Amino acid sequence: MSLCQAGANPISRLAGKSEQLRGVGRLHDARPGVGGVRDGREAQFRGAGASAQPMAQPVPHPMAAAPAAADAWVNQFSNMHIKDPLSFSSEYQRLYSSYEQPQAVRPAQPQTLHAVQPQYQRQFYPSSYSQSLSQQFSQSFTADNSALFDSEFDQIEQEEAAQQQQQQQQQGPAAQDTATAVPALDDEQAKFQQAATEIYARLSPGPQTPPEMEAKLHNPKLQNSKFLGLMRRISDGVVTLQNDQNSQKYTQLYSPTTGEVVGNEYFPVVDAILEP
Amino acid sequence: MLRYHTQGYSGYGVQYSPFFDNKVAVATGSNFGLVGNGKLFIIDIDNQGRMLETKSFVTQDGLFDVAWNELHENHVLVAQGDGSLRLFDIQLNDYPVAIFQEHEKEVFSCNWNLINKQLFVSSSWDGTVKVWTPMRQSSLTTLTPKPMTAHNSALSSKDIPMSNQKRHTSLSKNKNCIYQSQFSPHDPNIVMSCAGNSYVTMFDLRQPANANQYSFMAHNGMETLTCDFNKYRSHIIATGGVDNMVKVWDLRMVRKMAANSRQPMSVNEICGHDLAIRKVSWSPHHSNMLLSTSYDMTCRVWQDLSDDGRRPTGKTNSIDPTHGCRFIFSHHTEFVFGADWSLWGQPGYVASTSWDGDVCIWYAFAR
Repeated sequence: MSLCQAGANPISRLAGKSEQLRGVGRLHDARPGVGGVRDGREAQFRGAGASAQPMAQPVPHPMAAAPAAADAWVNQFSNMHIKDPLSFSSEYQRLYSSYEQPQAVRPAQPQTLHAVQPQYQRQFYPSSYSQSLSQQFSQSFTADNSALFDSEFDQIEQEEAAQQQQQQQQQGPAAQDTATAVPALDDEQAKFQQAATEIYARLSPGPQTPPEMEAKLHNPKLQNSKFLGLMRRISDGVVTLQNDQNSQKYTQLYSPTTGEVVGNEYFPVVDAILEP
Repeated sequence: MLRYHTQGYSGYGVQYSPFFDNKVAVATGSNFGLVGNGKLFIIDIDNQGRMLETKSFVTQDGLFDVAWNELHENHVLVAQGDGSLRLFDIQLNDYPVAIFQEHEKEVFSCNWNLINKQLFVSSSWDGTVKVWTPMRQSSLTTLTPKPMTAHNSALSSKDIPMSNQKRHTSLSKNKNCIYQSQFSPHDPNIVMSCAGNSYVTMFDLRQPANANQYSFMAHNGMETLTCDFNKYRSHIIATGGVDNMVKVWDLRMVRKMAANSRQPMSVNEICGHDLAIRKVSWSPHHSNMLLSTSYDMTCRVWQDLSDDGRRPTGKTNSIDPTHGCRFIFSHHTEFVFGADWSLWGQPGYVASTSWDGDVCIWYAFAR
């Protein structure tokens, strides 16, 4: 299926919808009293717009009954019966609003419309290559997944991370001492771990896996993949990159707890050519 | 099926020798090519049908592609992760006979010109395509696809589809990576490349730099990982991408649409793989058969139903119950990266290599 057939319009529509929802979120965050009557009017209209009812039906609102001359036009306008021949059917609007609802109630996330990921300036990084792989998996799956699933999954991840952080804080210095027994990861090792985590998450079935992906992810070949096993160990922090002190390059994988080399040991090779 | 295991190394690229019917070269990397050494294997097939390693070269970084020199039966070129290309003589030991070091990041592909055999081409993560000759250490020319250099708002608006969804933010990563480039087998001056920004670009080396290319978005803004020229129909190419699809394009239509700044449509789309397509290769013996490899750990052979071998049919593979799939090779147990059709003997033999370290030779038209 090509872009012309399916891709562009729904995506741009969703982009527009999301911007609207962000605006609503900000207004709803405003404290009562600060916005005054104006906020109330806006909420009135927004409430009407966001509801599942079609535009043709007037939306009753407690504020609409307030007898104020300044509000007369508001009441008139909100009571108008407008029939839009081009509007979507009420069934569609109801389904769409129920689709939007989980996104609307969530607090605005810091993601931007075209969030540009940082490009890794240093060359020949294994982590950047693994990120490339991670992206390829992620994109090949996004052809099937729904946006809702991803956002739900992100929220769960954030909640889990917050819980873990809370637990660590509660456990106090004893737990922190054990954590410091394992050497801390440097930037590149952390990026490498992040990429591995992403790959593993994409290729492993979980409770949130949509049904159409279940069969693919339960493929025994995928389950027995050594690469996936390595990604899991890297994501768990059991394996990471080892920096060669002489060349200042990451040359092999090792276990930071035992110090043992994982996978192939690196052999330095002289950068020379055979003269004819 | 014949099999050879490259112990400790994951296969990235494989190519049959154009001079010997029993010789293949395999580019590999240790630790799945993520970190560590690379190794070039030269494997011979003996009369008993065994695959034997006759030569190998360890390199300081992973190898991502391999190409035999079309002029010299003992020379093999490899694309290396440290930004260099290395030319090995399989009659010599240990070291390459030439190093071509200009790319600033990983070199992902190399391809020898089948007509003007003095030239080869490479593509890299640094966003450039370079044309080389073995006689010179420096490249002859550097080609940069235009979508990579677009800065004004009018051009950038033609870029990948806009989206606010978090899952689409990854589209902006790796845009500069050019995964594959290759010379046309029909015209020695035409180079094709495909990139992480989804664009496929056609270069004409005879034209001045400001008007030597046209490009089109091949996979809906998602990365285009591979491309190949049809060996019989000079205007037909195939691409594969992370949308799990193989697409067939008619360059005559593409060029016309590109001239009018419109998005061309593919003449055929082939679905069937469960994950991203890593390599596509048209058969050297049939004008409507092609091979694909994928992260779903399979190789598949497809019949392009839009052409019956003589003329366009007006059909697409979606009408076929199997989507035109004629054979699935599922021996590999990790992602399959490289595959090549044998030019020799009975048509239909394929060599494939995967991250499981296996190099397999199998028959694509087995029933």
